[in-house]
Amino acid sequence: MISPPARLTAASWDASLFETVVAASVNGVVILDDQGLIRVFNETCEALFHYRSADVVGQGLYVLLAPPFREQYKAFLATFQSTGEASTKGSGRELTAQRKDGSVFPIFLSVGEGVHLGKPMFYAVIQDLTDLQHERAMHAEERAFLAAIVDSSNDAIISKTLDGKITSWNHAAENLFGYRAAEMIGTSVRQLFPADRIHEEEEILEKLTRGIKVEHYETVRLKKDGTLVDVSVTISPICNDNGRVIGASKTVRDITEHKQSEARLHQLSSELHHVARLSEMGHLSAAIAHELNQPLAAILNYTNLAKRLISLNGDAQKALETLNKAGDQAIRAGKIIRGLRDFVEKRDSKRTLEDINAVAEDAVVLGLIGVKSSDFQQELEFARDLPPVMIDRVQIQQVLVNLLRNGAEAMADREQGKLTLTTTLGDDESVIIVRVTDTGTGISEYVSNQLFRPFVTTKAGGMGIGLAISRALVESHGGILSCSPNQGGGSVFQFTLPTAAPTME
Amino acid sequence: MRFLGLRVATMVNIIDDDDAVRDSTRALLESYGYEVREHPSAEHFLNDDDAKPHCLLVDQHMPGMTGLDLLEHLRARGDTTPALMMTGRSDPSLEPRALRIGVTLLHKPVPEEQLVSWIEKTRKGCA
Repeated sequence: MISPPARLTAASWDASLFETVVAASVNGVVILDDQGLIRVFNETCEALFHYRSADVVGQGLYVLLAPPFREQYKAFLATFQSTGEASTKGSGRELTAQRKDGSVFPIFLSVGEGVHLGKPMFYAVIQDLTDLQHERAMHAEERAFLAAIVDSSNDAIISKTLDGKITSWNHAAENLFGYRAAEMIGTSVRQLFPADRIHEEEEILEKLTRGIKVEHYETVRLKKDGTLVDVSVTISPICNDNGRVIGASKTVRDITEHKQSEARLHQLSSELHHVARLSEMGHLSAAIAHELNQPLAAILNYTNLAKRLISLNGDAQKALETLNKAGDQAIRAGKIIRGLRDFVEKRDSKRTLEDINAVAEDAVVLGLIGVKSSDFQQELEFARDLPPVMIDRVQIQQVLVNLLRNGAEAMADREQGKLTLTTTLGDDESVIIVRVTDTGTGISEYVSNQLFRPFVTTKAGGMGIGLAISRALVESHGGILSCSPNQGGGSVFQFTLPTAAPTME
Repeated sequence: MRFLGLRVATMVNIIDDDDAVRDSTRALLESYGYEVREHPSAEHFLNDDDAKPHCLLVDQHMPGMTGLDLLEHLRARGDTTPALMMTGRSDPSLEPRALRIGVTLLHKPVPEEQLVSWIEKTRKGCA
């Protein structure tokens, strides 16, 4: 390595210390002489560049660099050698280095200029940046990844400082509020608050500074176009490394649709209340059957007794009294039947122009409540652009619910069932045909002949009242309810509804 | 029959909440010479200490204790009085319950012959 001048041997400890320091340096150390040529190339350098010290000593620094730095440093060397002007010194720069085998790697090169024994010298420190660059790349990737998540979110994600200044504004925020990120960053979030809700910001900030998260806060915000939007806001404090709250991130979800579906659900549930009368009907009809069987039992007893009174001892007076009692019971039975009919007709029929497909769609929701999608396949085949029908929406829904439930029940024991609801326009366009097809147990010819009569049923717990009511309702609309076997097994129930006549001006 | 003084009258107890059913059944059965005691509820029957029936005609659907509740209660305390359940409602769950405690289940309205022959059968069984 260096042969120290003889007169310095007294300071041999210092001299050897220099060698030790250079050898022990974690970074590569290269020392250039007054000609700008390598004189010292330490072990770290040998390890970095795969050159032996002897390979590079006496050469310019450029041999350690990859293009374009190689050419640059070659030029620096030429300048230095001709003019003595050094351009390489400085606090340091990032360069690409090249190993003996031609492979390249990033380095940080810092060069210090000094004077040794009256001549200029340069002390170059080389730091391998490979690991650092990996780390940087990873961070960049992570940031890009996080940014992509934030930007691809369907929810608006906004961050702000504690005084309410917006610091980030994602793509969804642009879509939701109509403001571009460039318009919003640096401005106050207050412009998103309707005037009557401006106090919310103070309340939110007050909670945030105490480190409290605000979750799913339903409120209203103002869009750029001045319209209001229903939103659900979640606000989390952002803390610095010391745990101090320095800002907040808000996630803002547009709940307009949610609100609408909530309102729709509310509407449906009130309709369900009407339709529930149909199943209520089922329970009621069982009770009615019981009620009806009481007077029938009494009538049978009284008439039998009257016969006995007359045939045994000719007590006509007693027999007459008994027959009167039987008559009273017949009247009682009639009242019960009337009660049943009143029940069905209780509601004033309210006819409105309706789209049968929309009515049918709601009926599917209501009728198949509690039916799992795995129970059987459900298919809707709705013809498009059907003319409207003038119907009592709830009554027709009751019919549909009844038919859908019957179909579902008919397939209860089946491995693979399919329930199809179709709407079509009749051939002469005067009626719409609604069809419910199941692949269930089917209906025997005997039963199908009487199917629409009250109290005829194939169901163990049923009273056979649903189809009778359904037929009455369809007929009151001027339609026909009929039943036929499904070719592939099961049944087809279909009813017609007259299309509404075009209104005359 | 009783008025002939040849045999002890058969005491039938009717437990039914329906006045007309009770009244008509009583009148009909009395024409056959049976002694009939009426009860508008299961509770009424249980509180009647004088009720010493040969057989019971019980309605299922009554406010309070149902017919089967009553009969299960009686069987549980060792009372094996023959009983006929008469129901106006078709409820598939009733049959196995009735069968378990040996009770005959008939649907209303019950034909006269069926009713009388059942009572006669139990009377002979008791005799």
